[in-house]
Amino acid sequence: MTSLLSVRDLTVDYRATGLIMPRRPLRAVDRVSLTVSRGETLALVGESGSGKSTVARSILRLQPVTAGTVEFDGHPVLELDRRTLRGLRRRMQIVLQDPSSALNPRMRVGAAVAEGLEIHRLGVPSERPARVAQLLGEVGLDPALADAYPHQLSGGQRQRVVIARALAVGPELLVLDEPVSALDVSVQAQVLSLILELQQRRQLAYLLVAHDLAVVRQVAHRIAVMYLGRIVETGPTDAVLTAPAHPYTRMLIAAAPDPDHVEGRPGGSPLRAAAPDPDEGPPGGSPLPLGVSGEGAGATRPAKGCLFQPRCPHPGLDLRCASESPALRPLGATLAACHHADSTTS
Amino acid sequence: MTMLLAVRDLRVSFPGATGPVYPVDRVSFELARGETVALVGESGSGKSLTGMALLNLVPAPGEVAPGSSVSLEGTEILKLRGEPLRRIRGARIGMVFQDPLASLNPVISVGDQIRETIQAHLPLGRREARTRAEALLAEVGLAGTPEGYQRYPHQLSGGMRQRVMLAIALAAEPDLLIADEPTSALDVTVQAQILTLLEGLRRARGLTVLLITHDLGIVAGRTDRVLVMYAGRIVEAAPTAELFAHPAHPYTAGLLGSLPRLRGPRQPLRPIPGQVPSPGDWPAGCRFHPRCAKSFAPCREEPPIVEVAGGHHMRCWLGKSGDSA
Repeated sequence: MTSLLSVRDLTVDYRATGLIMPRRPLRAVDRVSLTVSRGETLALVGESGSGKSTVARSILRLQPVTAGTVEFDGHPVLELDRRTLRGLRRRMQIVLQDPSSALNPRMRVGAAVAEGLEIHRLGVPSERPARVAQLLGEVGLDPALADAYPHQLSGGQRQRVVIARALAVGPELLVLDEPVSALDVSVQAQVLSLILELQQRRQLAYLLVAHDLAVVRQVAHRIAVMYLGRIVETGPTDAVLTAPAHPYTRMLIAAAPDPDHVEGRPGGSPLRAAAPDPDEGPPGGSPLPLGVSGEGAGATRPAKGCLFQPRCPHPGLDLRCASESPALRPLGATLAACHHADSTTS
Repeated sequence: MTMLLAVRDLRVSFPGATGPVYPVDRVSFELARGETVALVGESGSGKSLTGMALLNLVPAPGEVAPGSSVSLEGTEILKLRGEPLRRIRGARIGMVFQDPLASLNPVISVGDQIRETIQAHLPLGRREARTRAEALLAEVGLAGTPEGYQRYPHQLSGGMRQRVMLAIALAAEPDLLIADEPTSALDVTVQAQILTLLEGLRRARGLTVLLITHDLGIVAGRTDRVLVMYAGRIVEAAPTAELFAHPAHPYTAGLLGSLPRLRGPRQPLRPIPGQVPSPGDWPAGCRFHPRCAKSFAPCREEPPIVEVAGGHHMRCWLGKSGDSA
């Protein structure tokens, strides 16, 4: 199957302007390659500062790109003129985390959903109310809500409106940027179920940007884990989550909150090992889950070598890690960018 | 275990369009010394307001309604004003919130902020307080050096700032720490570190902790008991392991069914239908019954509190037949 979306060596630099001297540009995304097929969900996973949202925005040309190519159904997205791009935008839509900021507070729900139809001159104006009602029904909303304003809706209802609005123009790819992380658990489950249902019905391709691995496991076919702008591991969802090769992926999984971890607290967790860290470590030898330490967003970014090396708990850490940037290579059932991942067994 | 805090019929009122509404409505619970208790709920459940009400910090125009009682080892906190109340806040009960940047002063070094808190509560000179502040920085895993002392909030990462907040909350050696979503703004790897730190501090200092959170995932394995709030009320209270293994209230069972899992067999999510009602719109009787698959005629009446198992209570008409859904 050929991919609907194909991204190659995408690189994005943020030019930081210093007060006196121009600062070195910050490489937010570094040679990221990925593909998404029709009916498939690829999850881009990472913590803040990983560049996952920048990748998503770059693909839709909502963000200047430094280098690389983005192909959507064979069209070179980054090279298109405005007119051709507008035609393509209809086919790739985005859903953002915060539904309240995505909706105009003065625009009724029906008008918001119909807006895309008008912009892209889709259908006959007289048929739009019926089309809007049908779309609201498809996302599980009462069509009577077309007359409501966003503030009259709950967070979950607003996110459904945003999804209906994206669906209105008949997209083939939806970029979902943290679509449920602002929602309460009970509502989050409703919206996730809707997202799964819509994919089956419409053969949608999803690029899901998310930090919550449990959410990702529920909806994604494949996962790409990002760290400081790079994909450090990628593979089928189950392979990445059950047999992660990269030490960072392992750290993320170990740190994820686990509602099934029901042993009594005094007994302590079996998943723990001490992790000494001079500046960010716990006090007096307290246990930490599997060597979890440091912070992505504030992490020191080494000038060369593996970007994860300053936080890496791998026992095989050596000079090569400090000097040579690891490329993605097959390790077990996934691809991982680590010099040593194959030398540990978990 | 000796009791540290007893909350009885705590009620918070806000003026509504048609009379007062009660986002926290007759909440009662106790905290034993040394316990870690989670107060869990979705947005609008009243969990954060409950935490604020314990220290009489409800923001205007809200107020704690008459008849509410919060007793810290016999001292009625809600009756205190001025200096005695200020002494309780900080010296007996410390608090940390979700957003450390909103609580830290950007133009005072973190060390001085800790030292000021120490001096506000303890009879110590500047030099002694400073030494103590450096020790506290080290205790929360930051550099307890003159350089570490001199850092400003903007020079620190989110996780380091939350460590500073913990140091400030503990500066006057409180017995009880109320942590309201202390890790919700942090990345997961940082969250794990802060929760581990919290547990270490609790153990080292014999603290009692009330952890207010929406995240059931951080509650499992890290707390002794859980109180589940829905629409202003505690609907279920149980030892943590018992609650996760045998959720009795349909709302708790629904929450657990809604939660995507990272481990174990992948199962379809079972969402709770509908939305959390807002305080003005709470249904009569059981406030969960319009969303509850098990509701039946009696649910339109005020549900009784029943004991499901030892130390495991719920507010539901299903009584002892209400097995996990």
